[in-house]
Amino acid sequence: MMSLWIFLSFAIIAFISLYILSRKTNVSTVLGNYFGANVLITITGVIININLQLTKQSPTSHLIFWTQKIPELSLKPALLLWFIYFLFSTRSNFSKCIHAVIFLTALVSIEIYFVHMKYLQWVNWNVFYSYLRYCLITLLLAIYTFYLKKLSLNDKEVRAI
Amino acid sequence: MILPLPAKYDANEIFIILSTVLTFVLMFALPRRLSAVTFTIIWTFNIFLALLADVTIAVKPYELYFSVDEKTYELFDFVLNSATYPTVPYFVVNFYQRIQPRGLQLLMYVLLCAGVASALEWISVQFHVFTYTGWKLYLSFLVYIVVFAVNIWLSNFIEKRHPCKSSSRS
Repeated sequence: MMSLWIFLSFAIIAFISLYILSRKTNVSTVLGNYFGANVLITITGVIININLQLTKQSPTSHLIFWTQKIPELSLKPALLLWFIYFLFSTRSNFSKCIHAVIFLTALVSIEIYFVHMKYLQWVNWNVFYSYLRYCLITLLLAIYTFYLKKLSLNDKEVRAI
Repeated sequence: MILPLPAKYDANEIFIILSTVLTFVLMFALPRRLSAVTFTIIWTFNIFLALLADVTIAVKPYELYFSVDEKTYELFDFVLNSATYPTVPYFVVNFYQRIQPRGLQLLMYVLLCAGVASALEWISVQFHVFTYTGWKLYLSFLVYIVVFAVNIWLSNFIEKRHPCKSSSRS
């Protein structure tokens, strides 16, 4: 129950942070990226868990199920969106690398926490693969962000003409 | 296998292929009233919704339905979620942007679309695309009302910021 409340609090903070991000950037991009991040997290999760059976997770309790689902819908996409924001910023490459390590570690830590709580079992999976999974998600999300930004820019150019 | 292929191509796979081809032909044949940004976000939003249903109410502890043949995530589940399903809300939103109903007309429009979507879902159940293990069709009708209302709101929200080129409303 404690974990659920912790992740609910994190979810509120995550959504507030996404509101701040939408003020800093563009609300349409944030919305599109939020949905895109969720799609990528879910698809990779399902492939790893159900199809390849590299992890084991069969929650019989509603509490365990929602404790895992809430960060998947809030904290993880929020971390990915902020990560993408820093990647597309004008910061130095060194700063971007530091941010990459922080965000990827935060994402992997959520999974490690579930493993520690015995909500998730790593069968043929480890921390390194988790890092790889989130690197792949970030790459795909960055491509999607680039595409959305390009579309927004095209729209603006057409309106300017 | 990352996305398993079906062991046998039976009614549900043929239904998914035919309905996807048919809706894509319609989508490209009919004029689009949405900007590229709105189209992309609406499409992503509906993939997100389809996946969300699959990983919440279709898995343990709920297991209210399963799609296609097995409880694994097959290639045809992926096609269904990312290509077939988003076309229905796309048509709803696209036609809404064309006729722009207001008030009671809008309510009737959403109810009509939810009815049509439920009928399509009933047909897909007959073809074993979905197998209900606790889910009911009237629940789908209620969900479609909410989903289409949110889609219409979202399309208006984005169209305000990225209006369609062919639109002459403003």
